[in-house]
Amino acid sequence: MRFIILLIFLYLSMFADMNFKETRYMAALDFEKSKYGNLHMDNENLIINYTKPIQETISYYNDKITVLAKDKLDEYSFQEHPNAQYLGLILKAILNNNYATVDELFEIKKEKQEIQLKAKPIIYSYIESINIIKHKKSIKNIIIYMTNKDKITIETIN
Amino acid sequence: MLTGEDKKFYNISEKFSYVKTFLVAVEGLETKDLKKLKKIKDELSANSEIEVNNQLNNKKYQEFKEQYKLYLNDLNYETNNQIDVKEQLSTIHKEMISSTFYYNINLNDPLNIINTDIKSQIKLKNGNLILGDFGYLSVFSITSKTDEKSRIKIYNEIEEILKKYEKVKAFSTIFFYVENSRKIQSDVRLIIMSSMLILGILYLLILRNLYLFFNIAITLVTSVIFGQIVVTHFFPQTSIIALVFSTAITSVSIDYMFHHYLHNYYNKRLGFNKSVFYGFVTTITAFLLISLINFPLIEQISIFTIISLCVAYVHFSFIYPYLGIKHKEPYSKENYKSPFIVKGHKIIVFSVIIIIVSLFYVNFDFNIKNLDYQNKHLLTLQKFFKSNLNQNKKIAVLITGTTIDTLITNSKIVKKLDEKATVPLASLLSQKEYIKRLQVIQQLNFAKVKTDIKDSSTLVGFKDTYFKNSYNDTFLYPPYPQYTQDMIKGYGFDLVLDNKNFITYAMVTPDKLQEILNLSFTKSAQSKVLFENSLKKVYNELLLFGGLTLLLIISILAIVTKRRFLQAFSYILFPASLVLLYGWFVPLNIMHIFMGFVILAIGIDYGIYMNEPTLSHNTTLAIIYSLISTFAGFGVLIISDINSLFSIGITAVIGVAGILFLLVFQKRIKKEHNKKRIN
Repeated sequence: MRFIILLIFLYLSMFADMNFKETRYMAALDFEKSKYGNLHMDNENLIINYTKPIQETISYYNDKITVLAKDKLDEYSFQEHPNAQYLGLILKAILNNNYATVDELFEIKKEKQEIQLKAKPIIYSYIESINIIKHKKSIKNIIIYMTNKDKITIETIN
Repeated sequence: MLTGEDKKFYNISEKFSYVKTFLVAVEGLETKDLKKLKKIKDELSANSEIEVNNQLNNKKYQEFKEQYKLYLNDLNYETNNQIDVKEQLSTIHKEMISSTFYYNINLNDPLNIINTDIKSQIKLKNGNLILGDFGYLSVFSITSKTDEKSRIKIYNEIEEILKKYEKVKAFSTIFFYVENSRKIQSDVRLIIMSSMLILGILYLLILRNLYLFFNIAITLVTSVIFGQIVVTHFFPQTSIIALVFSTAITSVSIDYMFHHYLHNYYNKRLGFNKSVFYGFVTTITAFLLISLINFPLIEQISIFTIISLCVAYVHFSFIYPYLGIKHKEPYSKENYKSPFIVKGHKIIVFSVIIIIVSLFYVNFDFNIKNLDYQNKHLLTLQKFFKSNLNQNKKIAVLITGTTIDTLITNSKIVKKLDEKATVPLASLLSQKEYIKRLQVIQQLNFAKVKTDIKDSSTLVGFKDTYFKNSYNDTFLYPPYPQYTQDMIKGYGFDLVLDNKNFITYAMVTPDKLQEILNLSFTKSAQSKVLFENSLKKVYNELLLFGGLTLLLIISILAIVTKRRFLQAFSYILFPASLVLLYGWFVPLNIMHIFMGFVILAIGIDYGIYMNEPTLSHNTTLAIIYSLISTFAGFGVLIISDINSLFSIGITAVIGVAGILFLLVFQKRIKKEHNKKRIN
């Protein structure tokens, strides 16, 4: 019995939601916007659920993104929107702690509690760099610096 | 094998990267498979002669694309009135505030005047190339030198790394060179060993004279070495196939020995043997004629044969009588009576009919690749990669231009003719395009756009100075494109300067090939086509010189044999007809034809020997043993997987079998007693 409970725990923990606060600084508007939500991996797909201020879900699949907002579902394929896949890839890589998938996009520099990703020419025009700050083994902060001076900060909340 | 212009273009096509491409694919599309590929990639790229082929991440090329972004892509607008700055900025503002998804403003082009809908042709998954449904793919370039030693070294190093991993497929055309070369060398070693063994046993069994056997061995080895020295002096890159053939030809030079020995020229010092001399001279002359054919392999073999036969003849005719060789009775079957006899004229009629009919039915094989070892494993692997990369049916074509700009324009013409073609240089900007686009940019009146943005942006809600650098002069007016060879190579493109022409390549679809080749600035880069053209020229020479040889042989035969000409002539007609008959079923390649002429040159010897007034038992024996040794010497080539060697072998087998048939079953014009022996 205890064994089964342990298994269920382990199973659940694999799909444990990561609660976060996302702050987007938009340099063009000199304006900061915050959202709250959780994200988790479902097989190889990344699902981001925003709970505050509005209920929205972004799902990153292998070949497309779907956005569900106000009961409307939009799809964007990567063939037509190559830039769209990058954020998904990056987040997946960070969650899995496997940076092999973003090897083509970034130069990876690992220090004790911080990982720095510096953009390679292919995404120069989009992203500049990404900082990942860890606390012990879990992720504390992800800061994405865009080329157009925008900044996206994701802080985990537990 | 290629001459003149064809050779020049072949050498140029060998310099392009598509020849040195090295592909590695890992089975499976899961993350763990990608991890495995990355590991392999790191190990391979640690090798100084393997470079990761990463066009996407070529910094200079990306910077170039960014610098000329306004010129390389389609624009969403043509005139200024189509742009409503205020309206656009409002829409963008709304999007940024309310969109779920992150909206990225491009500071250089905030109004999205440039159409960035690029349909990616490259299949990526998780940011990495994939090979169809198979798995992840990595593309490398092998930068080692093109000599055999360097190729073998890099092949071994790659094998060392890849053998540690399972479910990995790797391919490069360099593998063909190395594996085929290895296979040929091991085949050649095997053949030479078997040949020497078989012939050695044969001579021992037949002659039963150990002292003679040792002398023969020394003579044959000497003749081979001598021939080799001379040939490698004239041809630094002697083909290994020439070596194999040349070893086999010693089984022909042994004939001179057989005739002298069996007629007691060694123990009785009977002086000069005319028949052998005539046979020798005709064979040498035939090979001299054949050596005039402009095909290196044939030249090498002919020259080798001439030298080798000369050395052997001199030994066997002039030196051996003084060696004190005793005559020992060779093996022979007493009172052999043939089960049936065929009349001479029937054979001649049969041969002539076959030859005439063959003119309609015989097939020829001009594909030089078919002469090589058919490395099935690599060919399947190559097909696998090509089909998954959709490169399956594309054909390489060279594009030329007097300047780099002309080359780019020409590349664009090719791309326009064939949309599915891969034309690397077509993605650059030509000067003509620059000027054309400049006019459009002027029509768009960016000065007004900038003022509009300045006026509207704060009204709409944007930060005051945010757009101050948008549509700046550097972005609108990049420098007039003037490319140098280094620049183009820096972008990762292939470019070669030959004389005064710049040359690059393109991969085009087969149905558009002819149309594209009709353009004045294109040339076929397909080695197969280049070789075929060259081979067709050689075939004509082959027929000319072969015909001359034939004429020579027939005339000499007529002079020597006089009344018994027809019987002797059957020794040429019959084997020839058999070889042509073989050509009805198997396309004859250049080696078949060459060997065919060699058989005729050898066959004449037998025609002359058969002409001797007193056809003794010993002469017959000598001929039979000669034939058997030639059969063994060349026949052993049929065990080879290398088509050129196999072709030589099978032709020899057919030819010799034909001669043997004539010898045993053809009715002699003069009645001889097989029992009569001269002691």
